[in-house]
Amino acid sequence: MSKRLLRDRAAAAALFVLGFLVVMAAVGPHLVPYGPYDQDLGRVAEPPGRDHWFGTDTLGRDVFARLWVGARVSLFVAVVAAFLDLVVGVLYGSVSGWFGGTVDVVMQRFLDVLSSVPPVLLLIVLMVVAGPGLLSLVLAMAAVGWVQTARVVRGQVLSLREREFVLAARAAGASTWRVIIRHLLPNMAGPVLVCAALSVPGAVFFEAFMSFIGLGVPVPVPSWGSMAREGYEHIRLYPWLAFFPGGAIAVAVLALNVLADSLRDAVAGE
Amino acid sequence: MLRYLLGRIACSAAAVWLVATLTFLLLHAVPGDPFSTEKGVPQVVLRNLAARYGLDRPLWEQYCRYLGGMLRGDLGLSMRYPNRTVAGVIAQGFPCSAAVGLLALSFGFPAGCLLGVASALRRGRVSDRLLVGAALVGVSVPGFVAASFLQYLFGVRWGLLPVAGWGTLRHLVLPSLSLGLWVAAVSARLVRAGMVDVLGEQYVLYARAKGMPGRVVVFRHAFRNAVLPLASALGPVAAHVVAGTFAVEQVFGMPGLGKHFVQAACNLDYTLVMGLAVFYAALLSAAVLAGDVLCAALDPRIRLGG
Repeated sequence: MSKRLLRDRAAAAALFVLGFLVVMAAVGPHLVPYGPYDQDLGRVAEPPGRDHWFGTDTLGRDVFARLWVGARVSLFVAVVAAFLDLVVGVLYGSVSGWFGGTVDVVMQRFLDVLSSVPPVLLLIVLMVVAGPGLLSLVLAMAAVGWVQTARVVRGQVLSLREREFVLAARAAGASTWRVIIRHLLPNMAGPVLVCAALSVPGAVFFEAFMSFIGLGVPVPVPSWGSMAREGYEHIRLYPWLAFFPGGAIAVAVLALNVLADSLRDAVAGE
Repeated sequence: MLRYLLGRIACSAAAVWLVATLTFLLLHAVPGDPFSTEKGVPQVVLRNLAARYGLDRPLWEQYCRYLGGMLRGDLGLSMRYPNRTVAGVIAQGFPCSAAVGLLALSFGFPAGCLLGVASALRRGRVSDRLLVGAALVGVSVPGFVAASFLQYLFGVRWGLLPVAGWGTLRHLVLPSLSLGLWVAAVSARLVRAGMVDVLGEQYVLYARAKGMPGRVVVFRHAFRNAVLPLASALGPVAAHVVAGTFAVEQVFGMPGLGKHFVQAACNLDYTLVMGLAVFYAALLSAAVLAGDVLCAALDPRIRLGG
């Protein structure tokens, strides 16, 4: 009992933290009179203080404003990439599970091989080809991230398609896609949502990682990863440049992990 | 056993082939070629460059040569560093990366296993909750963020360890720590979950009931099964550590292979990206394979089930 309470409390705290991040992403940049790209070359690399709450970077830009614009970029990339993972995974998994036979065998072999390829390698190669940019990053992350969802969906479809309500729907003349969308999807919402929830923290991490190594969001646009990159370069003199974006990444990923964990436990407990 | 292993080897080989083919096709599909970006290069020079890298040949011939070279361990030439082979870059950079990665794994795994077992044995108590929370934090902090924080605390603030650089054993501590903490946290979570499941099994109760010492029950009977999820995650964990070296080597200014890979990707050094991607794919496929072998060795159901 006490453990469940603790879990719920942790989930509530995580939800609160995420809500805070989202609200700050929306209003944060407007709380200070500095734009995220405004340079004040008279006040370069100023430590956190009264005027600049989180200090300024080496080009005299306000870190507070940049951090929350970066939150928009990071959260947008992560949520859209996770959503695309879901769409591709559901399509692939339901086709593979529904049609079965040779189609299923071929699609599963491909999945086996693809899942032994480390996603980060494909991500880097795709970004080299597509060039840095928000859209190419989202698409590249979606291209490598759907494998797990596809597995879960296929398993669910395999177990659901023999059930009587599916037979009834088909007997009533429902088309394949109508059965999959109207009858199968609602019945596997729990596990699929858990899968999607588990992929969001990974997406936040990959966005930050790719921007950190310089293959993500291109330079003038702030993202937590690219800000952390600017930060480590000046760690000796201006450590706050690394702490705020690094801390933001860690807090966001932690909150998303807590939430995904408790969602998984809740669905498993049903 | 042999059947199982052959299946896994085929899968790994297919994964390496997939990476090789995908990178080849993708990098050849990019419009333009890497040499014409510089202004005022005479046509003759461009033709000679194309001939040197075999770019004037038909695509299928380039592909066959590339795969053939790969099988012989020849990954081609770098396009940006004149007169350097991909294999040469690997030989120069890999030892540094391997030292950091292996050190991270070699203390991360045992530490994580011990903490996971300890946590599961104290399930529900305060110490268990603290460990679970710490492990959750540990998996959430990316290696490059941990690297910056450790670098600041141990290097800049307290001056205990070198801030950056390469050469002595002391330079290895912070990079491998920033990757190893994540490994320990992931292992602790997997082992704890496995132990919690296994400790509820009848055979553990039986071993206890017949009076076996607790240590033997935990480590010989329970742990062997509880560590299976970790063993099967060996490949993904290794992949994450390798990805971590890409970023952490930059933070600590180390002359590792990850740094070369990222630089090649940023400089559009196509041949180097291609060669290193294949090398990393082979390395990580070997890690996946090692995980599979470990699982088979630990669990007769996998070994004999085929």
